[in-house]
Amino acid sequence: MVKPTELRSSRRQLLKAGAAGAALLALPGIVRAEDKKVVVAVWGGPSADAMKEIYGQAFAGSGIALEFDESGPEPAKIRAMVEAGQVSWDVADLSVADSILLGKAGMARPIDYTQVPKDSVLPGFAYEFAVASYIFSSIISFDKKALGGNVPTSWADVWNIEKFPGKRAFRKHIEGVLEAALIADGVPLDKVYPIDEDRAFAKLKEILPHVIFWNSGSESQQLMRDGETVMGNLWSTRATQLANEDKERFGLDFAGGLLLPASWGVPAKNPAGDAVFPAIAKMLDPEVQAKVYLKTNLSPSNPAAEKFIPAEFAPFNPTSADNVAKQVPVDVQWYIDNQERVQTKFLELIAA
Amino acid sequence: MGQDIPRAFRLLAAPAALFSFALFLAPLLLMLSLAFRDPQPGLQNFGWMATSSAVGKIVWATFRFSAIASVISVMLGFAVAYAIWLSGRTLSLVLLFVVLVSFWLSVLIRCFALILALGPNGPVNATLAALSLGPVRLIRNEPGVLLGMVHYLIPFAVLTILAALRGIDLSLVAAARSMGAHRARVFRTVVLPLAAPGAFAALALTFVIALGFYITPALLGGGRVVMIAEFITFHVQNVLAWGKASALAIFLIAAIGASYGLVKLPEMLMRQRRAA
Repeated sequence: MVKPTELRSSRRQLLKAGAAGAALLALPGIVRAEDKKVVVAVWGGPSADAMKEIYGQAFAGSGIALEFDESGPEPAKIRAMVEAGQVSWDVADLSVADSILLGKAGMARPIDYTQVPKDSVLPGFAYEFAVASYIFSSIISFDKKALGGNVPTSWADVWNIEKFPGKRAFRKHIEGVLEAALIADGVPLDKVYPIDEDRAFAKLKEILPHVIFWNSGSESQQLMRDGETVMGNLWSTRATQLANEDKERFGLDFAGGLLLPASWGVPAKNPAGDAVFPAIAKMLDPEVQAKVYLKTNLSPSNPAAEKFIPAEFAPFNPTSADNVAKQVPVDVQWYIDNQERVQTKFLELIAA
Repeated sequence: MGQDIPRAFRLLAAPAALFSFALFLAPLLLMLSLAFRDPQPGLQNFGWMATSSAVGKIVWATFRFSAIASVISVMLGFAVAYAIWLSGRTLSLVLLFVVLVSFWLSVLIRCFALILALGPNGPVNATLAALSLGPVRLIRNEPGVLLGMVHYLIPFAVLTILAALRGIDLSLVAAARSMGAHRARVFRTVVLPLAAPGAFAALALTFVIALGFYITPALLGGGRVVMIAEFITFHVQNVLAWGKASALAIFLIAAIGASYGLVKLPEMLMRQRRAA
């Protein structure tokens, strides 16, 4: 862009500036005019900072200039953008269910798996309208100090108020809570889906007076830090952060956890067109994903990333072989078919 | 009253009216029309609203909490307004300043302040514990939601009622006193009837504001108090059911209009009686 002051500069200065500009263009890693701009919509916060830094380095000299929008890619915003014909995002950090919801309504594009290799993600995590970007879990987080060292090791323990007294922090959403209720009630991990709603709600009702529900990840941490709750179902990213803050006080357990993919989805009529797919392929690079994990606790969706992660992180990594064996992968299709109806039922049950 | 204004002057209202229509009313109507056409044309969204037990429960909770919170706010607000009215100049300014400062703070900040102050490790519970009266669970429950709502609504009540009180001719109070009426009698037979329209206006205002509450119940209710606004958000953001969200919004707007009319009715009747 030409600043007003530059308009008044002499021709010689302009020539000099032009030469300097040409020299800059020759340098790798600098945004050039012919670089294809790809806009990535993310949720902000520390994980977005890490992605910006790490992707920024990875994309230097690739011919793709990544730009970040941290305003939060809510599916409602994508619907509004597509309907208005003013789409400003190329790739968005969406839940798989959201991307399929959008895809079915014609508001998201199918992933082009000729350009994004399917084997760059764990088997089963490449969907029609989204490809898993990172994986996290809904797991047991607990306050060792408040519990006097008597800590829960299963959802059945979380439901056991006599043995482990204190308030529980549960997500105000069926995802992770209904699965935990069923496992606490004795349902084997491989029989959790399709969810037996009545059984799950009956089990949830048992513990309801002892539950405080959280809306955001930061709220779940605040409930634990302030001692308002002694245990609960937290996202592994948040539970790990608590454990890192105070190892003496906070612990976590992946037993019966729910493996949840975050995913990259592409809004319909995205501005960069097909150039978005090579960008997605690059974001799934195993080394890049491992770097992001070490900064954010968001586990790689690419199985090849494990060799770039030091062994001492394995107990906190949702996709380490040991932890995967203890958990259930979320059934995305069940959520697409049932979320609206069952979440409404859930709100009705928990509401005063 | 309109007769005093020259007709041409009414055109002065045109730019503002046009602005409101183009940028507020038209988009609002467009949004509300979704209730009749999303996901397909028809009245299915209203049918869902009329038959869903979840909607019934959430609507009932919204009205119950709003009614209780607005009545408490008006009672407490009346006391504060009365104190400001009767205080000397300096004290009334200080009291008014305190009311205005809390009025100007954002609802989110006030919510977090209450969580910090009333939480298990907050100063209130520390004091109660020191007096061996606690700890008491003051937030993350129904009383916590009411507390947060009343805290937000009181300034609205105080300012509305204070305006009514300041319209009362103080010589009427002096006259009543000179005739030998006690303070309580003066309050009951002179002040209260004259301030009643203001109190009703405050009730209408606080109730209508309360119906739209979202942050306060979500944060202070421990997730157990779900009001209509939160339910609308769920349908807009999480499941893209904009038709249902829009039907709920139409209901909320209608409920606000109806409640406002209902609470304003006694005030209007009183005015007419006085005018007659």
